[in-house]
Amino acid sequence: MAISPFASRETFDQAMKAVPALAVSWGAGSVDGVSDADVKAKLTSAIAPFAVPPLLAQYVEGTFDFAFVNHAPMEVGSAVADVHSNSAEIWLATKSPTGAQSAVAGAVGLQPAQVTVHVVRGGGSFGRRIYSDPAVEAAQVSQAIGQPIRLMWTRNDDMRHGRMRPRSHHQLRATYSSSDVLSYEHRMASVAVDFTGSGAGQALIDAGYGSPTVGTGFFQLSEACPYNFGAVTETLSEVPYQLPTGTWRSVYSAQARTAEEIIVDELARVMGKDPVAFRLEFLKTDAERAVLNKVVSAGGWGRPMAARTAQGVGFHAEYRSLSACLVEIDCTASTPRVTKAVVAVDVGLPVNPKGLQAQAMGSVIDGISTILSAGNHLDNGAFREGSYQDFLYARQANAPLSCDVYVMPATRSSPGGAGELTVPAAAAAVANAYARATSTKPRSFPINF
Amino acid sequence: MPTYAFTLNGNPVSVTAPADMPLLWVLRDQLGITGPKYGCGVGVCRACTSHINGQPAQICTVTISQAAGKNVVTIEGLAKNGRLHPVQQAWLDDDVAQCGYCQPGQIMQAAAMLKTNKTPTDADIDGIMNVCRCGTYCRIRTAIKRAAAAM
Repeated sequence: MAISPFASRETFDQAMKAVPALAVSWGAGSVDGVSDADVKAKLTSAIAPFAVPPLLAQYVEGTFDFAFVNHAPMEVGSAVADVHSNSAEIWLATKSPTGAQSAVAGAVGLQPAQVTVHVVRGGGSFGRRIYSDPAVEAAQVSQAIGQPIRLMWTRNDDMRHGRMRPRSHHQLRATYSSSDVLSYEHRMASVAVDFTGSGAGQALIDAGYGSPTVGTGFFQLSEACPYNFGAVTETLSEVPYQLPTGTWRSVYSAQARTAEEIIVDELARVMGKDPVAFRLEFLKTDAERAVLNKVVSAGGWGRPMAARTAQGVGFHAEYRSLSACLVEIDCTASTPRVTKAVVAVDVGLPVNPKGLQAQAMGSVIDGISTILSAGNHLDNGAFREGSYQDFLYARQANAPLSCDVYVMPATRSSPGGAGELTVPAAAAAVANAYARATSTKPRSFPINF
Repeated sequence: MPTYAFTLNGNPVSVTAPADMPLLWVLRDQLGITGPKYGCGVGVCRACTSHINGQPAQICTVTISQAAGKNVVTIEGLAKNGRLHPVQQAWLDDDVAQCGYCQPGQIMQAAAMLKTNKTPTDADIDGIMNVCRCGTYCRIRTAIKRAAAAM
């Protein structure tokens, strides 16, 4: 087995400084010469056609693009490995211990039962630590030099060779009459998400959702239009690239539902309705309307706003839970600022309200970041951004001055999901507020990229 | 290799290290002080923020030779006489931390600010550049104001 060049020292600083001393001749990369425009063109050509011809009705439509986004966990990829001829021990912060066990066993020629994985605390990873690549590398190095290895990636390596939320392209069209939405179609094409990190892929296949692929099965499970929009069809086309991709907090939903919620605002506009009144009319359940009404009343929807400032709303239902978000944005300066956020969540049974609120607050920051500023450019086969100086995740000056999260009362005896629930609602609210403040139709994200 | 002496969390220490080794790695890999975190190595994420002679510093960009003779305080040295610093107490009261990885740096930055600015405005707090990838910024803002009031 080929071993990647490595530098082994007592301190991380010495190891980093030893790297340039290695004589390495690199082969071709897996996406040599490929840039964002190439990926976008391939995604666009992979989109499935709409089923409903627009000839017989009025319609709104939109084409949307979302950039690659690194998970950018503050704690870089890291693992400790001690590999022997008949056993291996791994210390790893992981969301999938059995996945790590299998991956390491396969990489060093052992059976999974011969690999012991010690799960340790780790930094938040937002989907990244479902994948065990640092443990596999540490195990390979340990096996090669016959010593235990403590491995850490550099930030540059983590940002450029770590995993990405894939670039995606969306085409949406909705037809309407004077009072009804007659059809709604969403065609999404995405660079294929690698689902091999956890047992989730196999579980989907076992449950009958793996057809034709794990990605499309996951898409059909997770994406559902929450509105009474007549004939609804949503499909995903996957385009494979030899790139490290991964499940980024909410997987497809932040992109798919943001595109959808923007079209919802645009439908409301052409049908002469207020965005909130329109949603209240077309949502399907009282519980859904209740979370939206909560942010509408708590956030003062419709209050007068100065020029180039505006409110925006977003709604999302997934994981047996509901979330609505209202934000206010200030676009008077060159860098837009979300100044206020109000969220309402209904998770069926809130268990730890303060932790639940924290998850929603973090999701708001994810929504602000990915809609306004955070993304990764693919330039001629390599990712451009290398650290937090150019990967523009929100900092304190980009965060809302207030973020109030309302937890709806319990309605059942089991909780729904909450960890990534609010990412799509928040991203959509930010995009819709930006559209209203600037009188534009945002189509490519992040907006400042 | 040269030997350098400095004060770490109130105690004199000396280490033998290359002159250009960043203080972060001296602390983490040689002295076992793991409160300051590595996030970027170039002073932009600020997860390593600690105090040098009372000033906030990104110690991934401060070499051991530059730190020699100085008074270095990390998150491990912020509590005094068994009592948490008001910023630490406010962080607990507002349940700020999510994963916690950036929080030592956030707390050290806030504590340094409150030393010279007793009543920080929202604009002052906006000046804090420490990245929190969990997005705990709103509770950080609340906790800084709570700590300022307590001090």
